[in-house]
Amino acid sequence: MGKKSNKKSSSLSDLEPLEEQEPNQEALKELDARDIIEPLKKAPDNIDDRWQDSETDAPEGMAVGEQEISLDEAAEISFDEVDRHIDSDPENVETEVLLDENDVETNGPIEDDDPPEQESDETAIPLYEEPDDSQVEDQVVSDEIPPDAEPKADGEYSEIVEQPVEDSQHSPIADKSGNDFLALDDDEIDDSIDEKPAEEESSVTGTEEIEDVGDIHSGTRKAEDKKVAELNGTAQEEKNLKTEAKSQIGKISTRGALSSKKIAIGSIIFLIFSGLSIYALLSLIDIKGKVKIVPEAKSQIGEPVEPAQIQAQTPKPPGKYDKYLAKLEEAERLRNDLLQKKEEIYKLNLYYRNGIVELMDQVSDEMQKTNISSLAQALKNNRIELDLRTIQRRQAYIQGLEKPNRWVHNGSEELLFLKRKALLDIQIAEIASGIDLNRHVRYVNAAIQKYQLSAEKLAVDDYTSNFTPLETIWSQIKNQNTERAHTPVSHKDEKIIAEICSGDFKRVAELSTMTAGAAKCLSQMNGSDLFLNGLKQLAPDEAKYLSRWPGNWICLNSIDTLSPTVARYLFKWEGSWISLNGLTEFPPELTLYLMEWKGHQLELMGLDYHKKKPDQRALKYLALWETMGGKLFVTEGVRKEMERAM
Amino acid sequence: MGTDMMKHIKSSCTAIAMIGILFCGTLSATGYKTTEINRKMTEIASLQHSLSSKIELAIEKKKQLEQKTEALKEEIKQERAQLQIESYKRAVLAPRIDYNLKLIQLLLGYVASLNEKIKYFQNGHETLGYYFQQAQDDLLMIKTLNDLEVEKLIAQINSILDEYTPETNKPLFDADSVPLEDAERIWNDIVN
Repeated sequence: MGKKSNKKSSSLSDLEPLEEQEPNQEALKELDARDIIEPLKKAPDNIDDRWQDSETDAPEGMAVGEQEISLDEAAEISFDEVDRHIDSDPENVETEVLLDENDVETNGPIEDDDPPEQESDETAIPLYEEPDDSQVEDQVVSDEIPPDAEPKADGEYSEIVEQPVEDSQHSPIADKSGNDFLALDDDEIDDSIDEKPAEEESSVTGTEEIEDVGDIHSGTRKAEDKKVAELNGTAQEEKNLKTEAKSQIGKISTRGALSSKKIAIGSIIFLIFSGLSIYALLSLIDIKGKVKIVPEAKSQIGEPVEPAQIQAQTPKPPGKYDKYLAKLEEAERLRNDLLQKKEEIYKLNLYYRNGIVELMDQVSDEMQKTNISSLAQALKNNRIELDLRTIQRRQAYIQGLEKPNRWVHNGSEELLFLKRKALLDIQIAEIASGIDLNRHVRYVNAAIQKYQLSAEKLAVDDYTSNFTPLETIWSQIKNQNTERAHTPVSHKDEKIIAEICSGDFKRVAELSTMTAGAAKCLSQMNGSDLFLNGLKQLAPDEAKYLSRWPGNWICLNSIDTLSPTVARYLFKWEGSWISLNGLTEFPPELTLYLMEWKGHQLELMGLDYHKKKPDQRALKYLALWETMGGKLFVTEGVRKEMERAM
Repeated sequence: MGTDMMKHIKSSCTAIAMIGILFCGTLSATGYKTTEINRKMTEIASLQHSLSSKIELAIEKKKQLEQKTEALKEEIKQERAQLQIESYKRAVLAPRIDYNLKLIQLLLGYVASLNEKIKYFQNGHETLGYYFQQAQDDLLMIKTLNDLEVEKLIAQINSILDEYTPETNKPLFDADSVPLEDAERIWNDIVN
């Protein structure tokens, strides 16, 4: 095998030349032209082949699947990069040729057996090729692509490639036979043909057709050579010397070319690997980026829609007791309606009560004016009679309201009881047996049906049957007048009143009794404060005049009771501060007028909360008045009760 | 001589085999007992955990019911003060008082049932703890002495497990069979 290879190498080195190749030059030029245009198109395949080779040599542990994906893409990228690089850089013509040759190699017989060194040798050929020498280029291509020489060239090329570079350095022939012949000029080629014509024919092609062509060409060449030798003897020697020199230069350039080839290949491999690594990095970055971006995009998109999503994503699953709770809510709504109606009834009741008090005051005033002392006389007075009948009717109304009020109260209490009982059973339903919640629903339904508000259910009975006799009413008024008559005006108060009416208000605070006249005079007083803390009673007409005083603060701290009529006038006063610290009670009837007062501060420090007579409604209204902007001064105990009432 | 020797060897081998079989049997029996006791201890621990949960739940519910009872009693007191009611006969005419008394009757019945159940579960828990301790002790004995009579203990454990395990899956009490206290007695307790 060694001998054979040596023989072949020697024969090849002898052959090298043009004699075989020149006849094919025209045809090969076409091939060359196509190859020059096409190589880069084919280069990817070549690169892929290399990558496939390199893949097989890839270290263990590398993910094959990933490799395949990344490598394919990397190959595309690297190829594109190389392609662009070649196109842009004229110096990369060598690379073009290199790719071209690689392409040829892949199509040629040396595909599989060529080791990388062989490729480097082959690709090194054009490196020392003169770019302008197109003819030589053609030869290069024609030498390397002998379509007819495929069967033989397989082994030959492999052996050529396998030959170490040192061999070609030792022998110029070997250089030529190896691949350096491609760099020779036409003249040099001629010289080489002259030197070893026959050996070329026998060894290079190994086919009859090429041999025939070689014979023809060798014949013509010999004749020409003879003529040239004769005419240019000296020139021939010079040419030989030049050839030798060039071959030496070629050797040197071959070394450089080999190293540059290696650099080029290395750079290409480096580019491919760098492209691959960049691609891998980019893909990693992309993956990371995607990971980062996706949530951001989600958050950006999600944030504004978040409330809707929450609403949409959190539908409450139907609870076990939802049905029962819904029914209880219905009962609670009805109960609230009943309580509201109860409040309305209560207010109406207060309205009638206050109206009765006012009417009684009017009757009382009228009695004093007209000096009526008996019911018979009073009934003759149309005004008094109508007032009395109005009082009678209103009292009947108040009695008539009791029934619907009781019905509403019972309804609200029953509904509350049913609700509480049902809730209690719901509370223990999970730990106890024998609880029939549907039974609760039935009871609640029945109660709802029973206590639905309607005019029929709220209708009062015939109130005319409940009329209080006029005599009773008349006696009540007379008793009221008798109580008032027991408060005579003292001598001192008469003097003070006289002073007040004369414009002297210095002793106002000493006044212990009030008259309508005195109140009228006081209403003319200038000043912001009016201290009437000596007064223990206040009549409606007195309150009526006092309410006209244009001051800011009025003190009535000795008054222990306040009738609704007095309250009605008092809370029409346009001042801002009333002190009623002597009141121990503040009946709900008064609150109706308090709510209409435009003042801001009310002192009720004497108000006491009787546990045995708690009137939550009055406290509730007082608290309500505060919520409307009023400021109430009460004791701490009352304050707590107010908070409880609210 | 040779036959005697052979006989002796045979008898020795037989004895060794017998001893081995007995030893293995003992070992296997000991292993079974250990496993069974361990299993029973696990069951006891599990049941104790269930009972503790039930007791905790019952106590929590009981507290809630007692709070409700107190709130209703306070409401009755207020209503009584407001309406100035002294007698029970008048009190039941006031809807709020009447209804609250009925609710209190129910609540007290529930609380009584819960108390009964809590006591029952606590008793079971303690009994299980006792058997668990005994099982632990017996296990140590078995490990030390290689054997101990445990069938009786296992039977006792099974008995108490059979008694209390179904109870953990049952309701704590039957609301229909709750004993209701007399309303007038409740009223008197509130007033006095």
